[in-house]
Amino acid sequence: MLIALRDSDAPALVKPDGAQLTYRQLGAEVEKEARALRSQGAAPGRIVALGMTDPQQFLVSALAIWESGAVLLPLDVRAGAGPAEALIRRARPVLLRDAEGFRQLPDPRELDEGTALLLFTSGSSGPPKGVRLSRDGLRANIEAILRYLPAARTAIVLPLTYSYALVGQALTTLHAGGTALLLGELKYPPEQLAAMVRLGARGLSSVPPSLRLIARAVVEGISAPPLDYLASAGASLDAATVALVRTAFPSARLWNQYGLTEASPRVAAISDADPAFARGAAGRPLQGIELRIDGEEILVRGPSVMLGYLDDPDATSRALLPGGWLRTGDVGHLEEGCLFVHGRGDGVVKCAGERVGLDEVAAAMRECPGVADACVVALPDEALGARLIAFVEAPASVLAELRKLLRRKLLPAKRPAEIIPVESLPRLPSGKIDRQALRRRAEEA
Amino acid sequence: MKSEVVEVIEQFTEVPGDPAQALDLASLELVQLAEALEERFAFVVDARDLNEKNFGSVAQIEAYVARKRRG
Repeated sequence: MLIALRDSDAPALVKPDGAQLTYRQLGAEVEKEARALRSQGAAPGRIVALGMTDPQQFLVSALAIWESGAVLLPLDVRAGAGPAEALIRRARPVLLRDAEGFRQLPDPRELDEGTALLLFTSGSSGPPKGVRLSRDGLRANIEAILRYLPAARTAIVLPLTYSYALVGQALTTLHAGGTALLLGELKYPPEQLAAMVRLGARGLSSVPPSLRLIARAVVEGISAPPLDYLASAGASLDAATVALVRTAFPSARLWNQYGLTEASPRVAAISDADPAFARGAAGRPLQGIELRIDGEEILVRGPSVMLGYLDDPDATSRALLPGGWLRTGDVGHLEEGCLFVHGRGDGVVKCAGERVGLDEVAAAMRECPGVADACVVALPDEALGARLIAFVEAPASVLAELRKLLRRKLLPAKRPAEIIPVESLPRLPSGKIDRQALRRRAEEA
Repeated sequence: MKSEVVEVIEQFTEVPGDPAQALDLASLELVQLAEALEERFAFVVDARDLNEKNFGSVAQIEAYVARKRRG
């Protein structure tokens, strides 16, 4: 088992309507589910794909998958059948567990027995990469997070398929014996606030755009829950959002955090009690984590660093340097041990918390008939983190078809805000696309 | 002719053929959509307006944006 569940009558999981599972009930549900999973082939090293949309059922199954010793592969089923099936083909799980039941799958693979979680995330190029995270690394990260973040009654509004919500919120709360308020199915900030008030939420973690709108709703007069803290991660926390959150929740502590899926995910954190917070610091390294800057790039070392990428030794050796250092691809600097992040150093940007590989988007566009070539640039965007502008060598008549194809192939955050057809893309003498020139054109447009 | 509002919405979710049909927006997509509409149409969404009545379908979002732009 990845985390220890207490045997008590304290509430573990609470739904928006107040329905709850105590730790004892959760333990019994997990036992039952683990027996079913084992009888269907779940075993140490085997992968189980999980496509539950109900957050409570998702967590029961996830804990049961770990109880059976198997590896969890969370599927974002909302993204549609196409992306989920592509992940299943690549990961080769033994089982698919979803609301319909269990489906045994052909040709299952076996991973190293220390592996607990397989999460797909976008790299700078090619399709999403499967990040292999170990049981020991996840546990180390959970314990490091609990050294600074209390886990009393935690409101979870993000999807549990994100490492931020799954590890950084749900598992930390359960490991500490706290109560996880599962609000992921409430999409509107006012209803999230009403549920937090009703259920007495004491902590909230989310991404900046979500925190911003929740804080704004409070400033506009909607009742605020008695939060002890709000925590941000997934994108940089700007001063305007900090000011808004302070106005809405004047007595709550505010945390900024930095991390990445490849580090299980949390790397650094800082509260507004620290003077460096006001200067925009991303955090101080968590217990057991070392940080170093190589050139301008942030490197991370510690027990929670990933085992490697699935079936991609080249990408793994590029990301994991000798000595156990993980390259983050983020650019930043250290000031007396405190981390400041400047942004992405390569072709990966964050759109509202989602990592988007610019080349992945361009590759998807090239698959559309009539598109000779494509290039995607990102412009900074206060609200979303980045705004994607695509240039395609294609007649304007294919744009409708191209948009349709992108909707099928890419998550919403990865779809360009604008697609500009051009006769030919500007090129460098080497023949490579001149990204700088395109970025200038995008800025002018 | 596709409306500008639809152009913004389809960055975040599938746009159904029928503008009255319910949109399948998750919470994160909803907040992104609200901020993208603010930027595109230069108005401020009242966070308390974020509900099913205003954001449940394409037709409702179009009506909401039109109201906000009239001020």
